[in-house]
Amino acid sequence: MTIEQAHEYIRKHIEADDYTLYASSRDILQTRFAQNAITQHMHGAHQNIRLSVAFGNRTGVATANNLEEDTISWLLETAQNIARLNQPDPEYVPSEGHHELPETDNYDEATAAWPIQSMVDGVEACVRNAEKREAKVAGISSRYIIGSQVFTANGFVGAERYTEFSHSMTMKKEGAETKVSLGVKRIGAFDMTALIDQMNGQFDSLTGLLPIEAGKYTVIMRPQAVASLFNMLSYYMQRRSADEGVSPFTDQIGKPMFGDRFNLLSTCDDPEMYTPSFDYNLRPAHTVSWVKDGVVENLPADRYWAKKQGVEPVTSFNSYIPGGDVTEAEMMKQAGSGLILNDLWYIRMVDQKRGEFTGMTRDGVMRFENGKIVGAVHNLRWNEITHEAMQRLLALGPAVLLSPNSKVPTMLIKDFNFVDTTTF
Amino acid sequence: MDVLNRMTTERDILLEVAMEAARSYGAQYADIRIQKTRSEMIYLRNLSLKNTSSGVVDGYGIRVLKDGAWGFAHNNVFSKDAVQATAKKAAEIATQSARVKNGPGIRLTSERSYLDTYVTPMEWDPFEIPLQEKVEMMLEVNKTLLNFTDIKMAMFFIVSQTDHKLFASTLGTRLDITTTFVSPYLQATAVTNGDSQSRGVRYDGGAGGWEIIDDADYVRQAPRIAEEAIMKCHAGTLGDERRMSLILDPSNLGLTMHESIGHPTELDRVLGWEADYAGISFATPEKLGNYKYGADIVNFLADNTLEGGLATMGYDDDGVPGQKWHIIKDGILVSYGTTRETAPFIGLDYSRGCNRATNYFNFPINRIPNLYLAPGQKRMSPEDLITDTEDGVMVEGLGSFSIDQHRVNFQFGGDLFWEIKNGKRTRMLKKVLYKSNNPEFWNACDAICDHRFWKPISVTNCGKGQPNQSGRMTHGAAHTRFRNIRVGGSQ
Repeated sequence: MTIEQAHEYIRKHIEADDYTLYASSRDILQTRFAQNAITQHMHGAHQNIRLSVAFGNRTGVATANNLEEDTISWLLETAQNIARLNQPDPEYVPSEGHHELPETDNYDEATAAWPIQSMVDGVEACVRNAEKREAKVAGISSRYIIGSQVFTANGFVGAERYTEFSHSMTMKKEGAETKVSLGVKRIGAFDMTALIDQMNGQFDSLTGLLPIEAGKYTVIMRPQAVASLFNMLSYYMQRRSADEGVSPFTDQIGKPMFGDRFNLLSTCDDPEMYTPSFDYNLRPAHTVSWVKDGVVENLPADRYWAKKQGVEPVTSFNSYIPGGDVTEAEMMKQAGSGLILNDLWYIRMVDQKRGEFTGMTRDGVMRFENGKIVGAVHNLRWNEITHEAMQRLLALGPAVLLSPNSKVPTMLIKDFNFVDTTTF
Repeated sequence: MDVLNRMTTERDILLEVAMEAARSYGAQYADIRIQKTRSEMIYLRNLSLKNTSSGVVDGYGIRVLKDGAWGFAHNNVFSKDAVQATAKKAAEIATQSARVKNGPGIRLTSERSYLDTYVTPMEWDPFEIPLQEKVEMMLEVNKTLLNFTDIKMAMFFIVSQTDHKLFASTLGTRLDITTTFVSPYLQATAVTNGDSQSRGVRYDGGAGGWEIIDDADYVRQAPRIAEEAIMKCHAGTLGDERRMSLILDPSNLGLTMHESIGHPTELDRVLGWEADYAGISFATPEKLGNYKYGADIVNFLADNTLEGGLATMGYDDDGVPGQKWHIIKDGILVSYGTTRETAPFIGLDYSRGCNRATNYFNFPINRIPNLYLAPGQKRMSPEDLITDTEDGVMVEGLGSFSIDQHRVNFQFGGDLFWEIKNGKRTRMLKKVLYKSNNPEFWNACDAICDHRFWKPISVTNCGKGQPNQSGRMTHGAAHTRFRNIRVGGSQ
């Protein structure tokens, strides 16, 4: 049956007081390669059907991966049985009601129809490039067609469709090892030649790696590194944990926690980025400013916590850090000496209350002196409080699209704290 | 039709349909894995049941090796036509893959065929335990934690999962495998004294049934967990980093060995196949048989027959039976975890059976086996170890963890720390980190407690692969000491 028919079945047969039916579908074609050959190559579509119900404030959830009638019947029976047997949930909130939702533009027919032969053509171009350099390349090309639909007992009806083409690859030869990646909503916006050129440029700058001492260095953090850093921070940006006193955001709303050059938004205004019609709370999506000129303006909150605190429930649906107009050459000149970081890796929280993280550099570290790159150095471990690092933000480059969920700039940051080094 | 118990005989027929179709499309080798995953999650946060759910994911994936290259297609429609179409698609994908291959392409180790079944031994099927009983126990634990005024957040979730796999290959293998595990996670967070600290229980689960939860007796543990979280807020810090002795209990050492021994000895990483995401390995093949990975007392055993082990599944997703072997023997790197595809690259014509996929729609990848540090041969208790230590820190539980993509440099934290001075625990510490690297760390190991103190540690969230898959395996250790390690506060 279709999801609409499944919804009708549930609406007709449900005994519970409330329900939310969520269905998502993912059609994914992926070509994975390593050591200059395709190693895995996969295609298929799968679904996720999730039904949550409530008798009063007793809730139950059932999930399955198809829309056959017996499955939908099982979903309903199972979710209701769980709810009947469950204890009351003191934080239960009734399902969201009807909203007029904005139109979105996240789907591209050409991307959805991108054929397997073209996927392999792209991979082959990357392999031939590596072979010319007597290097090895590994990575993955992916084409996604994603859909989701939501229905609630209180009248919410929403649907989304997305496409994405993404490609990432790592080229390695002896000590030189670097990675590039890009994801776009529309295949027409993807340029494999430009991505290969970017990789070659990074790769060529990594010959003759030298050891380096740990310590504080001014860094030019390229966009991928910036995205990695803030992906992890955003995981801890929650209004509830802040209000409960367990995160660095406690009592920080309205205060200049970050430096005044730093801004962070979820935006509906950039056509290159995903702009959903509704957010995780099933509210119409709109641009949300999380940090403006260094001041924390908002934190994500679910409907229960937002109601309890008397604030609007908002969620993060993409990450946009507005940039500036300073080039990398100008940053090197401004800083004099320091390090250029391509990416960060294995970032984990060290001290949740202080907001301190650790991680490694990855995919290439270059040293610059007197405003010029002088060579590549080994990777380093860093321990740093991210929001305090943003208080030492000296300059911003233009924001760059990394994926439809992420658009961030290069950052020049003073005294980034490196605590150890590795052997490569 | 009963969604949870669809007729196995119908599926047995589809196994044959798939193999016949794959052969007709020119497969050198093919297999089909029909996998039905049943899961239950109960998630409780501050007395609120955030998610009480039951789920089924049911489908099949067909792997076809043709022209020396792989094609993989998956589907959740169970009909003869759909299975044939999926096999055809896998073969067509393989044809495209063969455009970009090395020489003649993929070669698999030889393997015999098997007709077998495997079922995880368990006392209490977690899906047969009444929901009310589970929720009431979890609520009692939650209430006990929140009865402490300074505990501001109490979280408890338990995942139970059963995977039923039917596997067939063109070698003639037919397997019927049912594995079950439970995975609990309990955490209390205190906010007091201007600080916030958590104490938790993680990696306590294993392959088996609800008896694992019963035996853990979280109701009894809850007051201690709350008290320790509060104590951590009042604990001192260690100050500047310096070299000292480090005693790691099994619940901390589990993840350290996972990251610094387990991943570097996955042969696909060694070969560079994970270079774009999870990374590669410093433990390259020329080091086999001669690389001093650890001290002489360091022995790491891989054992996919380990009772209660999460990677104990009878057979892997290549249809290779579970085995037990040394990865590190007397401190020397002697072997890897391998698959039928990776083993030939180091001259082996047999696989160690480490190829596993998470869901039916995932391509199987070279996974860490159950992997553990063998207990010490000398009779020694953790208290003996403390008495024998002049200046050090003892670490319990899981904290921050991070390692470079070649698996050389790492930094780990923990969940509870005790300062040790002149053979005695002197005070609780917080915010302690230890930094080391391979091969320094495992060569600094100078004492391992005996088998009486050996404990398994269960990992159910091992992220690897593109697309990312979450794998599971069991580690294990007794309390172990490392000398002259950099230990200190953060920053």
